Amino acid sequence: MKEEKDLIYLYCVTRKAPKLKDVDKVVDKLYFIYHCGLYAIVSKVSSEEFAKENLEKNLNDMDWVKKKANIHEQVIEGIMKSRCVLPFKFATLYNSEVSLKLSIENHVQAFRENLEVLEGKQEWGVKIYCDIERLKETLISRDQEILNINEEINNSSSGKGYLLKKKKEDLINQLLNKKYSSCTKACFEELNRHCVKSRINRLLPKEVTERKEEMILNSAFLIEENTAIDFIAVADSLKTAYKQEGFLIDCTGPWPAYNFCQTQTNADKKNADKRG
Amino acid sequence: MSDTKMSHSVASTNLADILEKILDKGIVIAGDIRVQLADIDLLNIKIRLLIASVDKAMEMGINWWQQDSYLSSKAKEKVIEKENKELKKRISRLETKTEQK
Repeated sequence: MKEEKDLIYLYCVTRKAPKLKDVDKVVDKLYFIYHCGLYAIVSKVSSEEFAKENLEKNLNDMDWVKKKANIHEQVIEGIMKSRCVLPFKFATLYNSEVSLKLSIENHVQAFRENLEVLEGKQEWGVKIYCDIERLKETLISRDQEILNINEEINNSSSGKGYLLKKKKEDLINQLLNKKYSSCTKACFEELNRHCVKSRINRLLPKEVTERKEEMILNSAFLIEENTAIDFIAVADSLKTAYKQEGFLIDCTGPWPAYNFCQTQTNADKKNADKRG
Repeated sequence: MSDTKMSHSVASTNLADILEKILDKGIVIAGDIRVQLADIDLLNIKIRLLIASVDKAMEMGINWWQQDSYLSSKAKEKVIEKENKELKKRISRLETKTEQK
């Protein structure tokens, strides 16, 4: 085994010839391979960085991950400017063009079907965040039920007061939950009326989002390109409407349709641990 | 964070937004080099949290999307299962009826 051999990194697949101009500034040795009527956009990467053990090591280095994640995204977004793309997962790697071609042959049907669905569509992401502490304070100072309990606590013995405080906490949690649920449900349902497909993803913890507000909805929508303006307008009006209540709605796009492509193998593997 | 701007550009987007998509989604096919992200012990904390994070929605008690049969295929499966059972019962009832005649 020669260590210095290049590997082939697969970014995305298209049905029409991709335009690499400018995109090829993002990463070295970017080119495409035409096979089975599809174009695979790839680049040569060094096995020093991407061979199994080295890749595992590099994945612990946040700066490396950041750099490579941005390259992955920028290449796909660059191609996406003029072509419908089927985006692949980070670090889909092959030892040679021969094995990449073999892989395309094995999945050609699924790739074609996916591209057919995605043609003329865009993925948009909508995340909703909530400043829980602020919302809590508002509830505590304004909700009549809670104000009533507060008064009861003040007029009670310490024993009874303890139980009432417990009850108050439960009540606050119930009220908070009601608030999150009504906001997220209303927004999702409204946006859902303006899309082709939608998906709800796991909520990301604060350590990942690096925001002070808690994420309460993480959703993705596939929309027709020509209705993107309407979708954005709806998101915008929801954003304004919920701002006063302490909810922040973050709408980003267009993204490569990561959330709306699937291969059989993908589905099989993920069915077990994914919601729905 | 772009609060007023709708569309994103890679430069201004949160890294978490990109990682969430490219590490967890997109077309997954077995290439020649297979790395199971969740299995790497040392993998940096952020990625680990991203890949293996428990469902916070359950923790926070937001569960409308798990119950809604239109949204959750799991819930849908349950509905279909129930329907299936009921239909089977009906068939067997009808079969016994016709046999009796």
